[in-house]
Amino acid sequence: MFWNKLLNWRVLWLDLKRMTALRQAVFLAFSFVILLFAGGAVSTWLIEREIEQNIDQQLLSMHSQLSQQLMQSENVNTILPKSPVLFASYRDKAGLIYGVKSKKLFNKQGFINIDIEMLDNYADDWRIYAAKASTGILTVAINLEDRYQILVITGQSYLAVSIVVSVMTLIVGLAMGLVNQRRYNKISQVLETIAAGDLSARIAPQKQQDDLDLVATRIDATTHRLEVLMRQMKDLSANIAHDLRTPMARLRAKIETALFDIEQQTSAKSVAQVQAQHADTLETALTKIDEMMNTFTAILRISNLSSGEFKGHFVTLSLANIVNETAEIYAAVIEDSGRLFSCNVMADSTIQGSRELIIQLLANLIENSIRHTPKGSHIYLNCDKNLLQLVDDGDGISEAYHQRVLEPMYRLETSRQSAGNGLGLALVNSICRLHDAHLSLSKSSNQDSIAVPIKDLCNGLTVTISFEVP
Amino acid sequence: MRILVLEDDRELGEWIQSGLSDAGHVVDWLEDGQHALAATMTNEYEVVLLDRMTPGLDGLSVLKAMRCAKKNTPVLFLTAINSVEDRVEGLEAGADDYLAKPFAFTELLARVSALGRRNSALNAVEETLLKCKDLNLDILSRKCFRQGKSIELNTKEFLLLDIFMRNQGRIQTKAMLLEKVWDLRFDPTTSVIETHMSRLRAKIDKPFEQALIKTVRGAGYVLE
Repeated sequence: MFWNKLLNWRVLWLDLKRMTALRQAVFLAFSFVILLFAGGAVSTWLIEREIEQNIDQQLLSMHSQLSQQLMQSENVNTILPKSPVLFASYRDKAGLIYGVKSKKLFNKQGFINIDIEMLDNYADDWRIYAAKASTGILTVAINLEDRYQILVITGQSYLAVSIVVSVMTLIVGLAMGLVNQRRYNKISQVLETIAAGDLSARIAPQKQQDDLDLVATRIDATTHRLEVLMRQMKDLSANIAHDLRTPMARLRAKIETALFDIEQQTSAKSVAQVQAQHADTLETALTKIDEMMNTFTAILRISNLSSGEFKGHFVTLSLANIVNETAEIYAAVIEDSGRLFSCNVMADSTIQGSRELIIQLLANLIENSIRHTPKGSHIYLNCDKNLLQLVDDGDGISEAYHQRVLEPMYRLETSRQSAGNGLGLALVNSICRLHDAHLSLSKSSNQDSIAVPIKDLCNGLTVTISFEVP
Repeated sequence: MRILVLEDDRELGEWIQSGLSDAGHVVDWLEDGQHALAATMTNEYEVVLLDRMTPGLDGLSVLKAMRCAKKNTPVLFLTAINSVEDRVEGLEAGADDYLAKPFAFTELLARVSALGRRNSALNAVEETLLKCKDLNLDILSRKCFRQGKSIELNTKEFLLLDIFMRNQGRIQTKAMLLEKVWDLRFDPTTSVIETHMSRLRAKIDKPFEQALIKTVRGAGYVLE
């Protein structure tokens, strides 16, 4: 326990040394204290000068007052004051000194600081002013004890304030540094986890208040996107493995069997029979290869779309025209498949895009609907301004899977056995992204339908694509 | 037809050469772009097949040089890079058609025949009345008759039949029809072409004894 604590303290100390926030706080505190001391020195000096000027004023006025009195009065001794804080001395032209008898007082004329012992309980520092008065020289003196007192008090208060302020600054800086450090640590810890391969780690800042939270949120968003992409990659490789290996294995088996048959050509079968059988085998092989090729083409197409290469070929398009064109191509296909089709164009809108890609997008959605709805279902293709919508009244997809089905090669278990490579909706999603269009899947209902009333109690799938209006 | 093939992959080149030869064409197969350019300058070809990336001189440069020298021989581009950028660049440089690898040989053969036919059609006078046995198509009035009976066709059906009537005896692949009639270059997984073809056949073939449009297994359709 103790060692743990000590270790923690050691770690904490290492942290402290490393902590940018704390270093800044300490640096600030020290600069603050230095500034405070400099400020104290300057103000003490200013106060001292002020007091000195004040004393000098007092000395001057005292001197002139006494000079006048000296001129009028005969008895010098009665005029000269003497107290613990001030006194005056006079030296007449004969050299006789009245008042405090010290020669030091008359050495020099003007303002001087001198040291004279007068009373025990007062300091010996005096400021004197000596100048001509009457026929001699008059020196007036004021004790400097009070000035010292003021200076000492000023100095002490500055010191006290400095100590309190620096301690406070250090404590606050340390606290803030520690709080921020904890957040930095959390971020770096999460990034470390992510770097180690766990993409599910999140910083999850509690609040959204400052830059650090913003950075954390951004990192989380990036990680989330990475996680989705990684999962898609995993799904993609797993599904490529499944969807391409299976037909490849079958293909291999077929060719192997055919080869075996040629080697072991039994006389029981006629040449024509064997040839027909081989032709059949080869045709199946070709179909399988084409299927695999289509899957690859679709994967390439999706990666091409993600690269944004198509954007250079965008033109101004009318959505209504595209919808009508698609309807013209697919009406017959849908009807021949035993489903009902209606196309409703409410209002047109022009967008920037690629005609072929949007037709492919609608074609994929329609083909999906045909593939996953029972015969007799109704498929609607609607267009209203910048909204395109494909509605069906089939069995739909559980809402839990609405996001997942947009990922490349994600296939619901139920559809694994049916045709298709699981790339249709992913391609749709990529095309939407390229066009900055918003793609949403929902359960078919009258609320979401932009054109037609849907029959009640329907589970079908509604795909809505909303393009940005320029 | 005399055809020049520029393809640096031996196996593929041999395959194209033997396949086209079997179909009755005379094929010169070269592996180097500079040799191919020289060949187009000295010989008269009816169709030129250019691979996009070849040693010496790449296909695109060969094509540009040919067009600069006023050689208007139809060019079919073959490429492994199936990107829009690539296709647009090729077509802008003056390529007449574009085929991405891997492709079915029937597709290549059909496109080569179409290009050869386009070449001769350039010199021919535009016909306004197309005929195939007892089937007539009037381009100007957009009317269709068989055995004297008028047949109503919608726009796309008319376009489809127009293509078949102008290319009698030549296979039209699904991809070619999608490009020519609907201007689409992706492969819809469902039977778009089959559906429209069966509707067209229901109008021009079904009511009559002899079927004119035939399905070529694994390739496409042909009108004869």
